[in-house]
Amino acid sequence: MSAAELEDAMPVGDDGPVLHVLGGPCVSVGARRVGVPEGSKRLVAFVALHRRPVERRHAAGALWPIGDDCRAAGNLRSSLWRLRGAGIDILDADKWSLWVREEVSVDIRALSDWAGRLVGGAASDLDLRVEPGWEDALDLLPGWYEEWVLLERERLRQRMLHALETLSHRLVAERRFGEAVEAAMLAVGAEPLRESAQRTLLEAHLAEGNRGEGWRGLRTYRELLRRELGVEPSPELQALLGEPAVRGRGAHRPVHGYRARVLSC
Amino acid sequence: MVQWYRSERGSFRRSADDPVLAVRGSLDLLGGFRLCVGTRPVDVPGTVQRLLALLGVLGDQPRTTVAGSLWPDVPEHQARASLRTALWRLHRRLPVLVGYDDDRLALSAGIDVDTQLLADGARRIGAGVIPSDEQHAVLRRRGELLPGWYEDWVVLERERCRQLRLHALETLAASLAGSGRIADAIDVACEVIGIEPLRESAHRVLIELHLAEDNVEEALRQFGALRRLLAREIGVEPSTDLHELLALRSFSRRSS
Repeated sequence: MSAAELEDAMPVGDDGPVLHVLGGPCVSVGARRVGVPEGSKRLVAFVALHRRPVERRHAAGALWPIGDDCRAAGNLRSSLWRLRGAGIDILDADKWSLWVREEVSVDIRALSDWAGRLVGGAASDLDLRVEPGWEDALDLLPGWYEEWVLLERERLRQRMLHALETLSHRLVAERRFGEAVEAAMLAVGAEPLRESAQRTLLEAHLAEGNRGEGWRGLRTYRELLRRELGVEPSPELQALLGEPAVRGRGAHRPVHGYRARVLSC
Repeated sequence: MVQWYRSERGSFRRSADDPVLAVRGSLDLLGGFRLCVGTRPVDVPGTVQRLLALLGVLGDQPRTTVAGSLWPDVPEHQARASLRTALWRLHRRLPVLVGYDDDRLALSAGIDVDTQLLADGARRIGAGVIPSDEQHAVLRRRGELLPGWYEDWVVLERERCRQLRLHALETLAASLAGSGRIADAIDVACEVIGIEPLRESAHRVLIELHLAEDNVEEALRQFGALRRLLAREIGVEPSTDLHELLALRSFSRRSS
């Protein structure tokens, strides 16, 4: 971390505990980081991934699918107990359900909300930046292969990519072209074969007046598509760049005499 | 007690007081891989170079992701094993270069990475602040990221660095112009065109700067050069608003 970065680092969560599913699961309270006991990680992740309280039976069945219900319920109780034993007070439970305590912020929820605001058209000016942690959100809980993780991983990934594309469009509208290109490139980087991301990038370059960059990007995409899938970019995408040597020539005003001489060189 | 902070990238970093991560040095990736511990250049094997470069450019990451990026064509368990071996070898030689906690790997906090300087400089410029001399130097350095490296993640980051640098320099030129430092601004704009001659936005900045100095001939000459270049390389005309910009200025000058 450079000195500059140290300047930018801030102590975490003055308010309450934060549950980090990304890069975790783990918990931070203020600047202090508390690891979640190994035996409770899956439970914490499962409950955190659901916005609403989860039924104990549903959680037990999903997390311990092999064996009978009694066993699963017992495992759930042990897992909760281990959590409490480690002094980690982030989950609440009653006889029927489990939920994350209200004062605990969950990182993926904040990210998901940001993405939702952008995609839903409700983004404020403060939202017009790439939310930190988005990269980790592209690959939620890497190395976890249970079905409930796979589903949520894909959902979150799609949400992030869609948000980045929308962000790029909003930034173009604000004439913040550098940031618009950056946002689009992040999406393209994550999913180079995703045409909507490539189109967003192309649109950002064109909005800035950089057709050269646009052509470069299209060329790279075309080569990639041919190599990976044996297909061409869609005609709509190519149409964005227009026909070379035809477009533009007819579009500018007639030149004044003096200028015409200079420009004809 | 080790204090954990959340940095801009949203990840945890150890405080620089932590003796484990107090190794000072530099990692240069623009123009080629070059590692210095203290001020001493250090040679490391290829695998270690790739590991350090990955962590330097992308910041701290989960082990699985690192393993997958460095060994993309083998099963996960094999990749993780290769990573363990690489880390072990590295630790024998340079014990405090890479730290880890739980499942994340991070480059030592004391190592300055030039791509990070680039990003910091770009951010400051974006915020309207003149970058530090160090950051400025990195922005104007010619080298692209890790030339000759063909891994997917490098190719992507190389393009990102390029765009970041070009945009930052264009914005810097505009800022300098705004402060009345036209000559400096022209200098920077020429730098951008030197890096990417086909970049219309940079030519536009230069043309506008010439016009700001009432140098219409110079502006027209620049426009002509751009026109020829675009015609030759891509077969397009410069954008219409550039035409209009010059038409407007030419006309007003002639009429005054």
